[in-house]
Parts: sequence; structure tokens; C-alpha cells
Amino acid sequence: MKQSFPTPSQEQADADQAIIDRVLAGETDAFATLVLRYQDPLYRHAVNMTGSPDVAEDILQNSFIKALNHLGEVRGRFDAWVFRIVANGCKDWLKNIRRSHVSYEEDDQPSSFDTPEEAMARTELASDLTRALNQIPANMREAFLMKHVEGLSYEEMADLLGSTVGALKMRVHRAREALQALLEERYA
Amino acid sequence: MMMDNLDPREHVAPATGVTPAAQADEEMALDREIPRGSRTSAAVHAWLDGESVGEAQLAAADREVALWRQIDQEAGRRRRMTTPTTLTDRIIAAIPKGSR
Repeated sequence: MKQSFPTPSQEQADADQAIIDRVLAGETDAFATLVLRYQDPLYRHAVNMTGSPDVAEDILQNSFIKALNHLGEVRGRFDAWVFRIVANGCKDWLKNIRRSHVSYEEDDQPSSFDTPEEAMARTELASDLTRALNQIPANMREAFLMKHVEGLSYEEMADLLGSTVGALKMRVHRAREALQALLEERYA
Repeated sequence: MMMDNLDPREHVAPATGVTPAAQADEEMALDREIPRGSRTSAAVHAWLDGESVGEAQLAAADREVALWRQIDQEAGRRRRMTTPTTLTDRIIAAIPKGSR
């Protein structure tokens, strides 16, 4: 099953809507299909935005429960709608961290790579990249992750974020400038 | 009852969940806060954006290219990250059964 953004076709969007209709008709178990379909890219996004698998888990669980409770409010594509819920959850968490002046360090690194071997192969770059990502503004980080981790085109990002290609390209470029400045001394 | 604002298009910028003013503040803060090192060259931006770039242009930016190849490798590793099964189980267990 494909688990990446964005929804690739109208057919998939129609399939999502059919599930939503079933859930709203009382067949709530069907919501699990939407969870399984979209959880991976959403989880990745939350881990990379917050730098913490534990925080990402809380955000993802809360977001899916919110989505279920407000499913009747979906207008347009479900994947874009639920992405916004998760993205806002990440940004709210980041704002609270900043407001409370808590010095937050990522809790080691993402813990759920495909294989234990991959987890063992964590590099210093992985740790340094997480630290660097945490030093740039959330909007820049979000755009960078969508482009470089999820591999989306600017057009796909614009669809999901409700922004323009030009604005997103600028955010990605500025994120690259910042990350390069933070990492080049050690890695270039 | 507190309602969650699930549609950020209402009164706030789409998807960001923040007002345009707050977003402008953040963009201005970026200029003050982001570190300034050497500029990423236009050729490297184009290459990273999937555009056609000449070999000579990339060769002239070999240190940048080496850095971004490493970052891309790490990004690829993150792309394979999957949701812990314990989390999936928790979310699905939280879905009410039957009629709501």
C-alpha cells in the first residue's frame, strides 16, 4: 500500500471519501483503513518536525482522534486535511516549547527505522542534521522536510499546504542556506 | 466546549495555523536568527530541485555537492521510517466500535 503524500489520484481521493461516508454512517471501524493508509508519512513528518519520536507519537495519536471526531468537516482531500492537523499539532508543540523556555534536545533520534541494522547505523550526521533542523524556523523546516524527506514536488507541497509554489521554493532555499551554514564546516 | 480549529483557512494562513502577521514575524526572525555561512550556489539549488545542471557547474561546487549528497542519504534513510506498531495499535484501539 502506498503511504506517501500526496494522494496520487482522484480514484484514491474517492476511495478515502467512501471510507469517510462509512465512518459517518456509524461504521467507525473503517477509520482504521485511513489510519493505516496515512500514518507513515504523518509520523515521519512529526518525528522530523519535533525531533522526538515520543512527542511525534502523542501528536499523531491526538491528531487521528481529532480527525475522527471532526470527520464531518472534511472538505476536499482527506490526506491534505489530516496533514494540516498533524502539522498544526507540531507547530503548537514547538510554540509551547519556545514559550516555556525549555531547552529541548531531541531524545536521541528516530527509533523506528526499517531494520535494527539501520537503527544501529545512525550517523553523526543524523544527529547533527536533527540539531540543525531544530535551529531553523518551523515553516522552513516543514518545507525542507516535505521536499527532501518526502520527496514532493513544489506543486504537491502547495496543494497540501495551501501555499504558492514561489513561497515554498523560497522557504526550501532559505532552509538549505541555513542548514548548509550549520553543517558545512564539519561535513563539506 | 472548546473547539479545535481544524481548518486553518479560517482566519489564519492555510495549513500553517498562524496568522499572516505571525508568519511575517517569523520570516523576519529568520533573517536575524539563521546562521550565515557561504551561500548555497544557484547551481546546487537547481540540482537539488531536480533541474538540469551542467557537470562543470556542479564540479565548481564540489564541496557543496558532497555535503548535500550526505544530507540526501540521511533524508533517504528518514524516508524509510515507519510508524511503530505499538502506536498503530494504540490509535486503532482508541477508535470507538460501531455506531458513534
